[in-house]
Amino acid sequence: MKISAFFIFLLFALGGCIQRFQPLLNSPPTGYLVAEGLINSGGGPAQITLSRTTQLDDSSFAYETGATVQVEGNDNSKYSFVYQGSGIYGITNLSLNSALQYRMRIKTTSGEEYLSDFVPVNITPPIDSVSWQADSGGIQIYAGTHDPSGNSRYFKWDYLETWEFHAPFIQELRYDTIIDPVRGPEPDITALGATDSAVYTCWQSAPSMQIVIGSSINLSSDVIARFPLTSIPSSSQKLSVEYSVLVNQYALTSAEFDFYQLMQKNTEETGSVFGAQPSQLQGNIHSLTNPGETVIGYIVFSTVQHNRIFIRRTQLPTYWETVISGCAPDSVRTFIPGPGDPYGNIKAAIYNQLVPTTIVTVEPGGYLQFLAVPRVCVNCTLTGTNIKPSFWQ
Amino acid sequence: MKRHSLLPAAAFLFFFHIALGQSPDNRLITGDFKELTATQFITKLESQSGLHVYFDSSQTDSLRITLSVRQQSLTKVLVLAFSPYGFYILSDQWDRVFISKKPFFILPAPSLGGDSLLQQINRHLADHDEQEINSGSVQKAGLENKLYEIGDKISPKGQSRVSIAGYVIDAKTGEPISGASVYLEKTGTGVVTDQYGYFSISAAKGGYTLIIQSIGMKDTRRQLQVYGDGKLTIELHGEIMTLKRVTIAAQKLSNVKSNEMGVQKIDIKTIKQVPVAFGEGDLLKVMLTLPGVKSVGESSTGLNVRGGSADQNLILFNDATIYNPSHFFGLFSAFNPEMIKDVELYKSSIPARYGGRLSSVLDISSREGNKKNITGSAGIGLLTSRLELEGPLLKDKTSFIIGGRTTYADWLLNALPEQYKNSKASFYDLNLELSHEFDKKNNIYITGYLSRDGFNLNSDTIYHYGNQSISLKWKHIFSNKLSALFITGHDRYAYDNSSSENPVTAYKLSFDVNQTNAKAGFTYFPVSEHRIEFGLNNIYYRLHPGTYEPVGTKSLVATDKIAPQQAMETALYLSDQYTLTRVLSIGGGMRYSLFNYLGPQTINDYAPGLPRTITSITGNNSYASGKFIKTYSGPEWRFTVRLAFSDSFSIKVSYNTEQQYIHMLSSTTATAPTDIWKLSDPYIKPQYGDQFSIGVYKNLKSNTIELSAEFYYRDIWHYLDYKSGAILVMNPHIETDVFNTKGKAYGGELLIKKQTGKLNGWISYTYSRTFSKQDDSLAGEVINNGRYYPTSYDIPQDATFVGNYRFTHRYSIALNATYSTGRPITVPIANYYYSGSERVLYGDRNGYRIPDYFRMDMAINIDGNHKLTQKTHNSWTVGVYNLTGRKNPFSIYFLSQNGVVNGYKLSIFGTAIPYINYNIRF
Repeated sequence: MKISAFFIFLLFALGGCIQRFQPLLNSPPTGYLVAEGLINSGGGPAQITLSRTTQLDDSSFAYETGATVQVEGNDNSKYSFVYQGSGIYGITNLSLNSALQYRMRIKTTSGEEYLSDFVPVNITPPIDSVSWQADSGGIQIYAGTHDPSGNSRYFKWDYLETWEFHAPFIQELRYDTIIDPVRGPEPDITALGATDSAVYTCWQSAPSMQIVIGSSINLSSDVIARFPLTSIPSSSQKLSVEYSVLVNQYALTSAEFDFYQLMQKNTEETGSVFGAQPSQLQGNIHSLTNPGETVIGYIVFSTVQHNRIFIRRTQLPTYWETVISGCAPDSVRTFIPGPGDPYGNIKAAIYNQLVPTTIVTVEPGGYLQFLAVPRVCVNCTLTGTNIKPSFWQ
Repeated sequence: MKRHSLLPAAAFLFFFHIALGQSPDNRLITGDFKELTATQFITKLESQSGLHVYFDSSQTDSLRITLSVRQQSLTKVLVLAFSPYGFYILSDQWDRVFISKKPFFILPAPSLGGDSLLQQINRHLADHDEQEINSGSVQKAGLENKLYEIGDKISPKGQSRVSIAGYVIDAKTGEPISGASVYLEKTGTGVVTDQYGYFSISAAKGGYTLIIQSIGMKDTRRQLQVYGDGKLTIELHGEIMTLKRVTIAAQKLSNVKSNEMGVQKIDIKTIKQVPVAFGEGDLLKVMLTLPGVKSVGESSTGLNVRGGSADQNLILFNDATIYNPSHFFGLFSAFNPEMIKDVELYKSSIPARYGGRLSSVLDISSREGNKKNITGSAGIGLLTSRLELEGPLLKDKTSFIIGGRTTYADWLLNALPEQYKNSKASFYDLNLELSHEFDKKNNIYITGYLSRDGFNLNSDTIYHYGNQSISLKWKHIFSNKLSALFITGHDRYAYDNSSSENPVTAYKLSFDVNQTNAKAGFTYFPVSEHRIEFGLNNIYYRLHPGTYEPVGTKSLVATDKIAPQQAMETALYLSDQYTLTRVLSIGGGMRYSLFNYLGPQTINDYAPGLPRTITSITGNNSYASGKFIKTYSGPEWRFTVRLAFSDSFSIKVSYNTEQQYIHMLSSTTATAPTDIWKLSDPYIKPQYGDQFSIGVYKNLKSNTIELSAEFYYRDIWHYLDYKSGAILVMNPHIETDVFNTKGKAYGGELLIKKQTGKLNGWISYTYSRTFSKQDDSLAGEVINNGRYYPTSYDIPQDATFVGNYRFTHRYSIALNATYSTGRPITVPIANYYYSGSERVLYGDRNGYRIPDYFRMDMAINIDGNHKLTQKTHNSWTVGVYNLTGRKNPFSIYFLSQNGVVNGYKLSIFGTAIPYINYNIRF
């Protein structure tokens, strides 16, 4: 709710404040099953992730391994998923009949059995467009779709962002050792010879982390126009060279939409003055072994529609500047040799684990004044990959 | 002052049959008196003789009497004691004994023309008045000494008890004074003036001294000779701030001696003294300092009274129901402090004339315009300004008062970060009141009120909300014993929000609730021991529960309109307050309320025995316009018993039941401007509650210090709670998203209050608990396994200090401090990953509390000089809210951001907030 966001900013002006706070909460051992299944039913690979709830101070992923996972149709058809690691159970090709209803049966190694309710197969209309718009603060990505049949009124999107970026600095120097006639062995700097182009251009990817859902239920026709998916600040590294986003669209039923909306309210929109109070989250998976046991998750079968766009730096306002955290001006240091210790500057740079990039000046006596930066600023492979994605244009 | 005080100039009036020197004494006095004050001495004589001695204690204060007497008459003893000091002693045929510095004036026997006596008396009085004026004393003494004849002297035979009625008004402005205590010195019979300053008191024929006291006004008295029913208007003068003198608190009647309990009355002077954020007197914030009144946080003006929810308070502003009493996200209350006279909060014994809400009645009265002169006031603060103007339209007959308030908070919003710079927030409110006195028996009042708030977020979603009300009141006095008040009016609360950012989805959502009121209330005093009230209240409700419509031609938004709801709430009431003896008084009342949910409407049918969901709808029924769809009715009881063991100590017990037919639906903790109201219908049952309370009241130091302790236990049925993921806005079948609860609340409240003197204020302590549990077999979902859980406003401990210290006439300092337990919240019990992020799973409802709350505020009030000749009077208030800068948490919450869960603590005011206000009166 935007009113709450507004209120928070108003509060700042009034001297109010929001502080990070981690109360010591009593966190009982729960270990409830979490089954995340937004299952692609329109052919091709499909997967479901099984995990367990953990205690509040434990942020690790508690994978559920060794379970038997099966999709069952109300025509008694069965499709078995196999464990692929990291809690993921998958099937190479799943094509379900949209005239039927399906459910998911899960048996864990400890003998507990879970079964979801029968749900229909949702047919997702194509994405009309993925668009974007720049304003003073950055860009906003939108999706648009429509369903002439009017059957799909509720939608969920997720996306995978990929962007090309360059290391902000080129390493032209490296550390060396010389024998000082007076002092003996001392650190020195020397030219690298050839710069390493393999660490200059990289790509990085990130999946969506928020729940993005929208509905046309209030509209006279089944149209979603320019639904905001995400925004990127103008200074983000994502926009420094070229940016691409692959948007996946799924149709939901009303009940499925409600589930995601409640999860969104509970975990992304709580807390502020007019925010809703958290409430119980009810999915469509139930324990057969212990009826009444809490199970988190809603099994959804839906076809998926994709759309990818690219945004190049040249399409964006020229005055936007990329700020790479860790390589901002305040973390870039010029090392000037001191009069008492002509090698002290190099020792300091080494001590600070910085990489020499370029010589600024040569002082009398041949001592060097140079620029040094954290390694991540010269080697893009520390945050991304230098293997160009197959889809990259 | 002594209770048997009587000025000599008045004393002679009764003497036209007396024989001087005749001894009325039937019991002789014996005793050794040593170094007694005159008062002590006379008290002893009175107890021995059984006679009353009338004297002016101010004349005898300095005397110390030492005397030994054996078997002497009272008159003789008095002569022995007082003659050496130049006093005159007199006794009359009614066995009254008088002591006076002035010689008694014996009138000739009354002539046949009855008036001549009065003329003589008045002439005599006029002489005395002149003398007194010349000697520099105030003119008021004249009025106090003047004999008022009440009723026709040739009054009907056989009528032993007569009634005296009238108004108490401010001599300077002509405004009525409510809550003034008016009592007969001789019998101790007393009444309190109503909202219009009206009183009616009954007594046997005879001579009386009528004492009139009101807070902030000088006490006064009237000498009455009562022959029959009659009228009297009493003007009170403002208290000149001579701080050396301690005024007897006028409200001594309303605490120990009043029959009501759990009532707190606060006048605007006190409200303005209490420091609040931004420095503008805020009555709701002051209410929060009283025991038993809480709120969930600083930005909420929703009051939780004795464990009740925010919608269980009937907020009346000049008899108009106010649905949203807040401005500007709850940081201001919706009432202009310049317009308010006083506010009364009823939290346990709610009079039968009020009804429709379970927890409390907050009755806010605005001032009446000055009937003598055009005057006004204005105030300027950092965020708001206010103006008020009043005066006569027809001198002493018709007056107006008009007030307005607005905000200029945009400078504050401009300080916001770039992306919010285009935001706007503003509010205003307007008040108008006209009052006209046709004659002594007929007064009419026309009041109008309008409040409006608007804000938007960077030209995206625009929110508006506001209250509107208009009412016409006619106060008619049939006779001294019977008076009536007829009210008709219309109240409305509406909000809307709209967004045009995306032309395709541009929409406007609007909601409103309207009520048309007609009330007739009668007050009947057959004899002084009884005060009977009866009447009829009728409310016609019409709600538009939601309209969602397109904005602009490009919008594809489909118009969706939830059918309007209408209902009629009718109540008949009768109550009697019966004073059996000085000690015992009982009150009983019954309010019979009848609620009809009216067509046109379509009501869903649900499969019997199944949880109510969309899937269990089996069909529906349509009802024609005006058809009674569902009727609820029932009696509501109001009982009180008061045992006043002395003038300064009493115990009271009360039992109340209440029904409520309109419910606020809110899934947020704080009262939000987007909360909706819902009428009871075939599925939404009326809320029902009862309360038992007992209180002990003790006054100290001539009633200037009030101590009270009250304890209560309440039950609440059918309060609505929400299913998980409930949709409340634009939901045509709310019954699928809510369920009934059963609640209980109990607690104790202690209050020490000092209303007068250089140092005044109060200290309150409350221990209270409130719980709720799901009580609905058709909910389909079990909250906290059906056990009792604390409600989100369960705040067990609360201690508050409110103090004001006046250094000089011009400088005073106010300080308040409050501590309370943190409110309960629902917190996570586990982590999980879903949809790309770590998330939290919530456990039982309200299983944890936010940290405790503490705040201290201070203000300094500086008045300009008090020269009466000055055309304008100005004052400054400088203060600091949240003096210690403590970051009191409003909420603790957890957000999934960038894939991980972060915990946050939100404080509304994170620093000390200084403020300054300038006020001017003209």
